[in-house]
Amino acid sequence: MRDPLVEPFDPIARLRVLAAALPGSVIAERTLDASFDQVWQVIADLETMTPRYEHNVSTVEVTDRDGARATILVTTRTGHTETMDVRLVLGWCLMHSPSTVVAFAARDAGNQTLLAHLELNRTAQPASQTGSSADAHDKLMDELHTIELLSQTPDTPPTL
Amino acid sequence: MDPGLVRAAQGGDAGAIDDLIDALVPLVRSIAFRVAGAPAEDASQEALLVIFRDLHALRTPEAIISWASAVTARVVSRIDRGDRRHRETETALDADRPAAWFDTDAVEVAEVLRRLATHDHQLLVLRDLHGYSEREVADTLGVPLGTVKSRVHRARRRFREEWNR
Repeated sequence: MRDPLVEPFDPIARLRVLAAALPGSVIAERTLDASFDQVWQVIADLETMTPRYEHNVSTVEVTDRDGARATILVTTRTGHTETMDVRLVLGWCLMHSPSTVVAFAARDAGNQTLLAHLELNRTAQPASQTGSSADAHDKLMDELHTIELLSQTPDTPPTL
Repeated sequence: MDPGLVRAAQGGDAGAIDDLIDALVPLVRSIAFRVAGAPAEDASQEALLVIFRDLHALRTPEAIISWASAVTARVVSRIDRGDRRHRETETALDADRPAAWFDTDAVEVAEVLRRLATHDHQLLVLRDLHGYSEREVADTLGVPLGTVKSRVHRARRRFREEWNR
């Protein structure tokens, strides 16, 4: 029997703890109709898949990689570039820069997958001041839905 | 634990927060196990939520271990009080070795701890379960050293009384 004290910490719980430490962050969760492996194949393919579910992103380039740690260069649709640090392990993906935090956490749920998503944009006004927290949550839910479609047909763009 | 990591996490560095979660999970699980008397993953997660929600308020990053221990003991104790039943025991305690109390059946220890007042419970968890010095306990709980000395003495006496009840 495995020792519960040394079990890996549940990624979904980790994302909730991260959110607790990051005021202003927005999180969304959705059970995707795709296997854990299918979903994680999409999340882990940063260069190909990120621009397909995150419409503000034009390109992602992995500029350095050392095991679970990586550095990526993100270019937005408006031409802004940003270097982000990445930690990518099975079920957990954290991408962050001083201005932006993005995280994904996945838990195997049989034929389905619980996927949680966090975003924090420190350059934007807090959602609590703009009344846009619902919009921010809707954006994350849309991305989770797109990831579900990509997971079901990873080789073709989703039909939205 | 590196105080620089704690400061970076307090400053909102997501990578530092991620690393600090890894650093604190074993500690939090261990305390939750001791206090609840069984693996208590839900309570551990709740404690971690409170720790990271309140991390910005920790004024001394060097005290992260004792502070997180105290928060965990408090959160797990609160949760545990609500969902565990009373269990009786006939095990004798060595009054001269309080630290050894926690080497006995953890379930029974947790039950006795639960019957104590919260401040007695916290003192014993920190002082005798985790072996903090009285100075460290004083710093963690924000009370004078002399108060800790007298309260520990009283808390141990109450623990023995409850145990033998």
